[in-house]
Amino acid sequence: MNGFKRLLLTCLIQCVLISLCLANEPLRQGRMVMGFYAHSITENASLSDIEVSLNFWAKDLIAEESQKMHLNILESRAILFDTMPEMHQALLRGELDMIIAPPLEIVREFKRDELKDGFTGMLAGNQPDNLYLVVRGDKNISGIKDLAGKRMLLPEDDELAEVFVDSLFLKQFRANYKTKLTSVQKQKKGSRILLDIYFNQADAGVIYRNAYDVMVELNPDIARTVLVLEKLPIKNKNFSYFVKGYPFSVELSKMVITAFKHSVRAKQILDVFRTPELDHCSINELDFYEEFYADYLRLKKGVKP
Amino acid sequence: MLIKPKSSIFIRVFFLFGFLVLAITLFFAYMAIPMQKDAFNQIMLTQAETVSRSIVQASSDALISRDYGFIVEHNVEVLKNNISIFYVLVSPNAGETILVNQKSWRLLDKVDDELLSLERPDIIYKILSYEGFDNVYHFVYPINFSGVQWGWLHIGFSTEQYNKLIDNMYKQIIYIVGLSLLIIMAVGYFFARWISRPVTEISQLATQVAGGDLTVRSNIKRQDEIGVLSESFNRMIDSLQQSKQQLQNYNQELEQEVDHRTQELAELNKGLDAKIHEEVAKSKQQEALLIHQSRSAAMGEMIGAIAHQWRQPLNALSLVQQNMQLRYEMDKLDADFMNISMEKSNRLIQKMSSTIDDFRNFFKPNKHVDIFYIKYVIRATCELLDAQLKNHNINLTINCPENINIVGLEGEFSQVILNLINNAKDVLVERSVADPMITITVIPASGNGIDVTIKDNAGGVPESIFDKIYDPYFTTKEEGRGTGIGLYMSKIIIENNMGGSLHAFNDSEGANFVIHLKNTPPIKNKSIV
Repeated sequence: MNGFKRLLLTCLIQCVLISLCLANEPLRQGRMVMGFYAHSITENASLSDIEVSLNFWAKDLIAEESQKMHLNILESRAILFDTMPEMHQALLRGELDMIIAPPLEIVREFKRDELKDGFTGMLAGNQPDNLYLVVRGDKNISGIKDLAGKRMLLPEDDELAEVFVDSLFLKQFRANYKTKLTSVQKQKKGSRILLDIYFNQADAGVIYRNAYDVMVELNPDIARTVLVLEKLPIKNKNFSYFVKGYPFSVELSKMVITAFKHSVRAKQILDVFRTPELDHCSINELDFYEEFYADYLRLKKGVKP
Repeated sequence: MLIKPKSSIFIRVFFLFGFLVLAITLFFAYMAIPMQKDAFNQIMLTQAETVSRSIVQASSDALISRDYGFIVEHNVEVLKNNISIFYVLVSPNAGETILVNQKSWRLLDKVDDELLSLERPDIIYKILSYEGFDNVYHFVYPINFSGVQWGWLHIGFSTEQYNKLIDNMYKQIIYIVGLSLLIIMAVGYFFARWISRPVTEISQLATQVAGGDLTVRSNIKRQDEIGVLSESFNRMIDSLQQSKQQLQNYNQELEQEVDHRTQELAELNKGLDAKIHEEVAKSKQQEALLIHQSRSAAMGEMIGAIAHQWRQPLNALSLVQQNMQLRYEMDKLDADFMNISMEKSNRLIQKMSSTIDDFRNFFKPNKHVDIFYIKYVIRATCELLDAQLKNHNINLTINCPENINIVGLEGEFSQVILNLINNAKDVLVERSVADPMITITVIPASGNGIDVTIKDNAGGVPESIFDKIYDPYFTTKEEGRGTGIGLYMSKIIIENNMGGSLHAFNDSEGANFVIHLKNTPPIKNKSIV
């Protein structure tokens, strides 16, 4: 037997042994408890849909996909929190393995060393979502300065949107936006904000790009009537991060991102949240929001009460 | 041998049963289709009304406050959750007209005319094409708030579900009809067999019976009409067998009786031959007697005629002799007177002799068939009777063309003429007719013949004896004067020997005897006189 053949035989034996070892690898047991900031996810879906998607579909999906990674997730469930501090307390008590919340809220409530990389939703084509400040085209609004005395609509329970608008007004007017606008109303759904502006119920508003694109697709006339004045480049409205110390974060992060590309059940869940795709989300991506919020606070400090 | 008719009861019953069941099935299917369609329409209508009411109720505040954002948002949601709705069109009396479909929504400047025509106070629907969709169940729902007409809600429903229901209905009907056909074929086969089998069996048995086999019997045992028919058939065969046996017995008896009768007839036939011969002989004797009597009568007639003919020359001869005697006594008998008297006497004697020759020639049987002129024969016959006729002052007239001739027995024809003139003369004398007259007329008759009529003016033959005058021995003359054979013989001569006919009729003056003769009669060349 020459040297080449011997090498081939050795490789074959090693492959068989590795396969046997992997096949006999014991299942690691664990859990997956997700904490959701309720106000940030109820815009796109009803509570009943969220409950079904998280407690049944996600459970099935995790149980099915984790098997492939030799994980045995004994418990998987979701908990909705009305406030971020409640969620933070639950995390500190060790009740959560993952949190899903707006990045600004995460920056404000959590410390970096409490979390580690997770994933976030993306638009189709792995495009980032943006926060738009839109105005009616027939109101002669070409800049922030023209917004004075106008009617504004903001998303409900979305502090990032409010900070975004306030920052712009602070920069322009050195005054809080509420003081410069005739009226400020809040709507739960971004689509409704856009419709109200279209039907001249308001002059300006803040919506996410996803909602804007969907509505324009339904009625292209909206793009001609309602124009984008300013945009804040953000990846998504909500970020998901594993709790520091969660043992299966790497496997589950990988599993979620791959599973949501081919699993029917995963597609159903994404459809409920109107999120076409998922992508990896580093903990460092919070830096942008942290700085943005810090800038805002500085601007706010500079404004005389 | 089994008989298989072309169109058996089995085939007829099978097809009749199949046709009836199939016709009933198709009829019910035909009736069910419109009812089912109505039911589906009602379902569509109810569904459309429910959806419309739901949209209006949910959007009522928005409609009143003209919150079009909500209206759009809500209807987008409605369409998202109802893929059977193609579009929703909100058409207010005043304000924005919003059209929402599955992929988009937009504002309309004006509502399409066709849709506008459907905006009525009551709900209405119509199948139409709109927004790129064909066969849309377009439902129009009037929106009213507190009795005030706000506008109309148009909803375009897909008819796919409706069409599916209709298709399913047709499929079910096809399945039912197909199943019915299978059942018909199966049940129809057994039903037709159940009906036709006993009938065929009895029919075959009946054919065997018709062929003469009375030993067959039907084994069908059923508690229905077929069973009764079977029993009746068997009873009929029994009855036929009995009748056949009786007929055979009767036949044997009849044959024996026929044999017996045949023997009797044979014996009777033998006696009958003898009787016939005897009767024929008698008839011949009677005929001979008749001929003899006829001859005797003729002889009597001849003698009478000769007597009449001779009377006048005898008187003249007597006068010649008396003159001669007177001359002699007066001694004036000279040679000249003697020669004249002898010559006169010879002439009278010669005439008397001629008379005898004439009568002898007349009565001499002439057996030769010959052509003779009728007028000559009639005139010769009349001359024989001339003295007798003149004696009774009977005026005889003969009207006969000269050139008429016939083929036949001349003597027998003159005998007939003589008989008829004699009969006329006798009745004229008997009835003392003033200006007695006999007329003989010969004229060509129709159909290549001639008619000879002997007419008198004696008043005619009495009607009561018309059918007897040709009978032998029948006479109306006094005892000893008539033999009753003349007319009988005359009819036989004319009809049997000359192929003619003799008949009589009366006119206003008297009797007319008509002899009809053919120009070429089938003549017997044997005289019966």
